[in-house]
Amino acid sequence: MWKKWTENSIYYYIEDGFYWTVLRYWIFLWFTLVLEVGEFRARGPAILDTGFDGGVYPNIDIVKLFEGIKPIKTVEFENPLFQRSEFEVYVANAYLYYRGEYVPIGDVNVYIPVEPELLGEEVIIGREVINRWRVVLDSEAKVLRVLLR
Amino acid sequence: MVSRKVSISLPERLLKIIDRNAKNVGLSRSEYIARILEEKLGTAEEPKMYPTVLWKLRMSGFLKVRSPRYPSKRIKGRWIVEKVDRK
Repeated sequence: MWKKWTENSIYYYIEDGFYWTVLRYWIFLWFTLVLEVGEFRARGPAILDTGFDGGVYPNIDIVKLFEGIKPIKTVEFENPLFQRSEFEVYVANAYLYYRGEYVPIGDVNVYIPVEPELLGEEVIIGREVINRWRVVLDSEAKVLRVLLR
Repeated sequence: MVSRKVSISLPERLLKIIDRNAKNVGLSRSEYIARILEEKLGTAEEPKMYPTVLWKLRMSGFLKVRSPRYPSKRIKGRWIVEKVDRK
């Protein structure tokens, strides 16, 4: 059963970046993610990436939330740039943030790379989380709609 | 672990870098040099803290890195971290 209110959880695409060689721009499918770890809560933009098998790929702000906490396990992912890489897995309580409302989406696994070179500035949401939802990409309206169960 | 005091000579330029980095990560000069040597010699113990990447970044003196995926792009809007009041 899909909840009705989530029909309104719409996030506008972010477009940017004209290259001087060719007219081209990036389109980001994103929404505002909230992660709760212990007594801290972090909120910010996260990019949807169906090419990532895991849950949440963090930036440094999120990594700092887990300072002093032991990972629940260690896994390896194949990375197109760095080949097989080790990740520590942590759990966080997650929410979607929409118009001032926190919508719970349950616990998510946060995959923190062991090597600093693999840490990015953007937060990425992978299929482990996306597969819980129905995601509608309306390219004409340039919006992303997220429907939760 | 028992430590011994030794006297070594280092170039002035290198010493400046060591002192600056040690200050950035909140370590004394001796601690910082010892950790670099342990890492280089492969005798480092288990990470002193988790997540390991945070420990590595603190050790190297860098806490900001660029994205490997979108090196020339950053979406607008930064992450806000706040303390939760559960009362």
